[in-house]
Amino acid sequence: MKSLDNSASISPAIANLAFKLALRVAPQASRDWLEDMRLEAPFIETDAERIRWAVGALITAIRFRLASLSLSRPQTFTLASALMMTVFAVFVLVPQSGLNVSPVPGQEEVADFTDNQLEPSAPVQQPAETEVAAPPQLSLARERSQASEAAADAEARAVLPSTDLLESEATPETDEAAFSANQRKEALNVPSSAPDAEADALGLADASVHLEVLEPLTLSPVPAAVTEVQAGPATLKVRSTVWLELVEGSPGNRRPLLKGQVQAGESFELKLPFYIQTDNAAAIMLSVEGQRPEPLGPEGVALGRLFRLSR
Amino acid sequence: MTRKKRYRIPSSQQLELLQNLLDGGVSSYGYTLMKVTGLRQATLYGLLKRLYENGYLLKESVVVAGRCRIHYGLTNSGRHYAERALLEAEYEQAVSGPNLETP
Repeated sequence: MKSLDNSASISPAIANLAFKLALRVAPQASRDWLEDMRLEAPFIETDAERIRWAVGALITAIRFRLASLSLSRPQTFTLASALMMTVFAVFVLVPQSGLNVSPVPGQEEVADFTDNQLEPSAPVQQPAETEVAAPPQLSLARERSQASEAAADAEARAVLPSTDLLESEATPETDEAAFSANQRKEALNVPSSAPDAEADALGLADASVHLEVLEPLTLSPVPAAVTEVQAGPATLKVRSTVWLELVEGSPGNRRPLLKGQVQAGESFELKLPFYIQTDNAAAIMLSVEGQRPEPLGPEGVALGRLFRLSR
Repeated sequence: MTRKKRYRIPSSQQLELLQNLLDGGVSSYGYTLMKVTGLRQATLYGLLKRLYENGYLLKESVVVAGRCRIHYGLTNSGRHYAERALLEAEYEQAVSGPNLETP
């Protein structure tokens, strides 16, 4: 019980101390905000919350102080200079010095190989030479090309074993086409963990097949995010001279149409979605989807309104 | 050479605060604003300070239960700014695109 009494008596003291400290820390121009916080404290119900509020005021004061630091002060200037030099060193000097991590052997070949798949106007960014890690698609391509190389080696090696096999096991009427896949696999000594190599060894795949397989993995441009937005008929007519801002837009093609004074009698055809901002809503008559034109709002009211297709 | 000032869509925190200030009422005191918006105190007062410096915020001293308390409200331009910002945010949500320029 004694501790409770103590906490009850201590908490206002802590809060007061925090507020005093905050007022000292805060810059002169921001002290009125700290004063506002201090005035707010008596309306907070619990002691714990009040202390939290006071500590929050102290943190706010520190933030205000940090925000008010001026470059004209020597300490701040030194700190800012050091920061700028570090940023300069990291972003300018390091890339120029060529301290980039060399790509994994074979990566350049794959990169060239995939570049050939690019259309000139395709908006896909090519991987930069300084890139450290290969994207997963390129890694996959590399693995596959390595696998196909291994298969080609295996096929080359398989010339002798296959003739040996023909001599030792095959009957005279047996030809190469009669070999089963397993027999071929054993004869060619192809590792079972490389299905592409196996396909190559069987003569079912070649380099051009790999090209076709890799294309969708590497360079498929992302389709537009919102394509469902369709143009809807909307007509806007100006009844009296008014300040008007019109923005019409579809994803990636958002454009301000108009901004400024518009004379009475002018009308505009708009496609959904669009945004209207005006200083006199009653001066704007709007007809959406062929309906009867109605004023955008009451006389003299400045407002902005968004029109879009319902989802 | 003057640089053209671009209109920036306010952050979600700022939008939350603007929405509450637009609604007004009894919740527009520092502590209640903090509770309603869920913002941290430093963030809240940072935003309030910025709004005040831009002429969008109004501070009023109100006597409540014999004690002085500061009530925050939007000025006319602040109300206009808040409405525009909220609509802009909705627009941004509907169609993602570049920011608009100020009139």
